[in-house]
Amino acid sequence: MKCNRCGAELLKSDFCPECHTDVSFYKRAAAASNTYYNKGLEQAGVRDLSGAIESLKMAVMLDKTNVSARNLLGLCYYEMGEVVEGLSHWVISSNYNSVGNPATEYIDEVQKKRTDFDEKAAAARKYNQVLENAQNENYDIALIQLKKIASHTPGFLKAQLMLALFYIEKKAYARAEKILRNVLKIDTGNAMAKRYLSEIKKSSKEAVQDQSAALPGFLKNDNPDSPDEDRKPLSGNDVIRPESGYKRTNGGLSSFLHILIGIGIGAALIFFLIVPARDRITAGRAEAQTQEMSAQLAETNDKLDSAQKQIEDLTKARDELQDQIDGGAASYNQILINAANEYLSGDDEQAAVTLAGIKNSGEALGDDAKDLYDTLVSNIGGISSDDVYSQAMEAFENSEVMRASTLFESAYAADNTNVNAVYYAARCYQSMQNTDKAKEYYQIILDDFPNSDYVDTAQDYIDSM
Amino acid sequence: MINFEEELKKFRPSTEADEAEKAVINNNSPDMTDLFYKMIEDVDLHIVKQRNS
Repeated sequence: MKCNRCGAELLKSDFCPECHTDVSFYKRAAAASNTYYNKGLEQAGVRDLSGAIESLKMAVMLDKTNVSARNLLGLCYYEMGEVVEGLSHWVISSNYNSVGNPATEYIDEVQKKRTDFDEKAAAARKYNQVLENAQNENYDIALIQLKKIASHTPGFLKAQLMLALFYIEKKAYARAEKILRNVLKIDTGNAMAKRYLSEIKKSSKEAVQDQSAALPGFLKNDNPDSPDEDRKPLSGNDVIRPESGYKRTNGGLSSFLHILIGIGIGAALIFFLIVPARDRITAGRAEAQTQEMSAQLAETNDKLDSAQKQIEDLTKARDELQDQIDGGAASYNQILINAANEYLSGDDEQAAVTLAGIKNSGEALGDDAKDLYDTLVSNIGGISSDDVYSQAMEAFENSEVMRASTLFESAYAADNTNVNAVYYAARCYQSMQNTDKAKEYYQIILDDFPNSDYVDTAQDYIDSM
Repeated sequence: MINFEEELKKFRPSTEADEAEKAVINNNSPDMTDLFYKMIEDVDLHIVKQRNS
């Protein structure tokens, strides 16, 4: 036995040789824990899982480091379908002792058979939904879901017991009994299953007694008015002949009447008993099918609505992107046309400046536009972003703010890392009282150049708007 | 005689996979030995306080 504080091996003394803690109580608790563990082991050996769980819970309550008790407790839970509970006990057990502990093997086994575990965990989740439905009195939906769970995971005892309860309520005693016998095969000491089974037997006995009490009088043997027959004393020559029950009928008419009465009774039985019962069964099946299909229909409708919304969102996004592309292409095409007009009118310098605005945006142009762009560049020669920027600064210093703003825009379009071009473009628009364009360019500084020196100025301007 | 609603109330929810962490914490609660040592500590503390006052 090891000390529960420091893990040192304990001796006969009531004090730990290492940490000197008083371990007398712990020793007694551990001994009691082992007693309960042995009892639990015995019960588990005869498949009394419910009883074993109670004993093992006591064992663990007395000594939480009793890994054998914990491992067995986990096994019992796992066998009853409570896989998460079982796994949690194995995890705790492997925490206390990871060397040579079967719990680590159990955990590895569960991880290897992951699909099996996931199936059982899903069954637990569905069972909780069934419980909720049943508590909200949606019994029909609960029963449909419960049947599915019970058929997929027959080892999940809670679900089986609840299904048996539903069958008892519907007086389907034969089905309930079958389920309960299967439960008792897995857990021989399950008190709930035993109680339900005894209730079924009681209800079946009462049903049989009621049936016999309802028998017509001519089938009962209680005729007190039959006269006593005079009996002569027997002599030695008398022959005792057993009384025959056979009586001759009076003739064809009474036979015919009897036959007619028999046919009438038979027809009445069919009409009043068999046909309504068959109709009830058919109606019940139809109703169950209708409800199942309604549930499926509702699920399908939800999926459909969700898919429809996705389509609408994607269409909207596509249209917005298309507008951007079109807008982009349209604006670049316009720049190209302007550059072509400037070239044709002989202003090569201005055409080069205009062309610089679409220098880095070749992908936005179509094939024909690209050909025109290449032709113009080869005839005019390119102009660098720095040259455009220099011209823009010159214009700005000469207070030609409108021309400067256009040139700064072109310089930025040609080189989108030129924060100075952005800043001065914003300054130009600000001085022209074009607050929308100024705000746009200041926002570019905040979004794309957060580390530049112009950030404070940009933020102040935007805050003042 | 089985009362359906009363029997239904006896069914408790099953632990789901999402609640595994909570299950580990709940199942690893202090045992009798922990409670006993805690009581001893509380008694010791009480005695020390009385001596100091």
